[in-house]
Amino acid sequence: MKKKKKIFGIAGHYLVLGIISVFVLLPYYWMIVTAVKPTEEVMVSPSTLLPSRLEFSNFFKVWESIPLGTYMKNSLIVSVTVTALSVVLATLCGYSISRFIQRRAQKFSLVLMLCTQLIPGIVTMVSLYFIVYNLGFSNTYTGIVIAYVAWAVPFCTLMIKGYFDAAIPREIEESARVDGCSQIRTFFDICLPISVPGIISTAIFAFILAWNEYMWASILLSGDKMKPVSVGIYDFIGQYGANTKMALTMTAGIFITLPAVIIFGFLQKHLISGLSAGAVKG
Amino acid sequence: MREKKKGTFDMGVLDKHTPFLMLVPAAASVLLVSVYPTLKTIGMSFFDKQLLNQEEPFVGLANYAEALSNAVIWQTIFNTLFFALASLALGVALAMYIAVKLIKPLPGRGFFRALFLVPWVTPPLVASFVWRILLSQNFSPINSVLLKLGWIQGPVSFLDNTEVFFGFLSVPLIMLTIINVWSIFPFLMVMFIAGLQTVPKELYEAATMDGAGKITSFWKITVPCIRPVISVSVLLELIWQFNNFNISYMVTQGGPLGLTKLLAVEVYQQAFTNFNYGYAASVSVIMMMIALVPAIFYMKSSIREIT
Repeated sequence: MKKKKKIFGIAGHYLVLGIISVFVLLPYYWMIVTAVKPTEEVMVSPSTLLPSRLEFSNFFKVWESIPLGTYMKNSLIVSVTVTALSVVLATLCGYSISRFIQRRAQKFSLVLMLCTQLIPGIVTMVSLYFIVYNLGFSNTYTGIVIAYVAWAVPFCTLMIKGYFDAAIPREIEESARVDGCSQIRTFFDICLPISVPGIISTAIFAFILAWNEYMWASILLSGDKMKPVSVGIYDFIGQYGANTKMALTMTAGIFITLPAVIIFGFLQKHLISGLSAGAVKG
Repeated sequence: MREKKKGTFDMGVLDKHTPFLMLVPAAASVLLVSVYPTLKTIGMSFFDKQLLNQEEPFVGLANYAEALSNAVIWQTIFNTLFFALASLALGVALAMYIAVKLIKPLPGRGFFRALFLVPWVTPPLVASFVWRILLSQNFSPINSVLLKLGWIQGPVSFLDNTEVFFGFLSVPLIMLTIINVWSIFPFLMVMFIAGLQTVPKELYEAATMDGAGKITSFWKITVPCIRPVISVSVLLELIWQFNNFNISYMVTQGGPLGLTKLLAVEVYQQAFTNFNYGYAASVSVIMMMIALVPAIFYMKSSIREIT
């Protein structure tokens, strides 16, 4: 009797997870199905749930119809630069806050990072646009990189600070200090090598932020040759309407989702442990 | 204390100030690129700054008066509040339900955890475009299934319905909220799972011995134990969703008839489509003032921890 109940319980557990999976996966399913449907089936209404045969021509056509390669190159340049800069700034600052929180500058920086996270991005943008324009940085990578870094640094700093607080014991550093090791060498030689998981999770966070962003890029980086994928695809949809080039847009969607998902797939364990180390402490 | 020797003196001073130097680049970039422009936007909201105007006269609170006497702004404020609160409530409930399920040591736990995180890393542009098709009248598989089941007579258009309830609520806005739940629940789930891992198992065993059911022990043990995690992630997410731009702009462009327009979209369109910068700045400041209410709670709890 008890065993029967348990089996039902487990079946129910997986049934619920299955239903949630349908909700989570529905967009991906439709994206892939639309991309591989034969051209004449895409525009049938009501839509068929399965393609009658698979056609992969969209996967080649999309590179000719949309300058996807250029867009992806732009996105990659911006995202990688932003990731590198954000991680360096956030790690230095997060370490300093984590280890010297009793000092005034560190307290101030922590409050600063907490506060700026709460400012709506669009408020900053209204006048940042003029500042970037006046500095001659509109439509350059420099302009967008500056904007993204300042935007990513607060959360990254808090994340890596949480990691230093929770996962890296101070005792090792203190004994190094007693042995006469300078502050900067303690950080680079003792602390940094054992903090790699936390740093990786911060890096993924910054990369995904920059790769997925649309709003600021649409303002600061709209020149045809400079556009990142998000702006490029948005303009492509705008140019032809949502429906006419649906299959091509879906295919492009697959290509721009893949980099983030792949990076994330490899490193998600670090991301979760890095986030939770900071999160659990509050 | 270190002895001051000739030649090593500079190094000692440098060493003493290393922690300060370490935080300067990050703090300076945030001050210059986030705080300074925000203050400038606040200043701009008192001027009539437009693209075609040569002059930028000081107009005091006229932009604010114009905004607050505009029915569109009020509609947008209600839309935004509903969107943020409803997607947060649904997102928290869903994320908590899944987190409790995925903390159980049953096979497939890691797989489902990874799977449910994918929406988080999907570009909002892609998600929005696909959801727009999924909820469209003509090309929606949801309509195909509902038609086959015989639940509806003709295809439904989820995003074009302009019927209004309670003065602001519409079917498209509810649809946007659901799409948003899809994209925000993974972050909440990760935070909750992280919190749940810290709850000692003995507590549950003791509760079961005392005859407490699952639901009782959830409310009496789980929730109190992970309250810090819940409050931080809920407050952060509330503010982020209040500031949300992508879903509304990319799925419906705020339409039909402004029924799904959110404050961030209104500011964006006023500033970068209509080039009405002063007015846009004032709307964005109004937006920031509303977001200040949860922000103060967040700051209070965070600062209490520092000091």
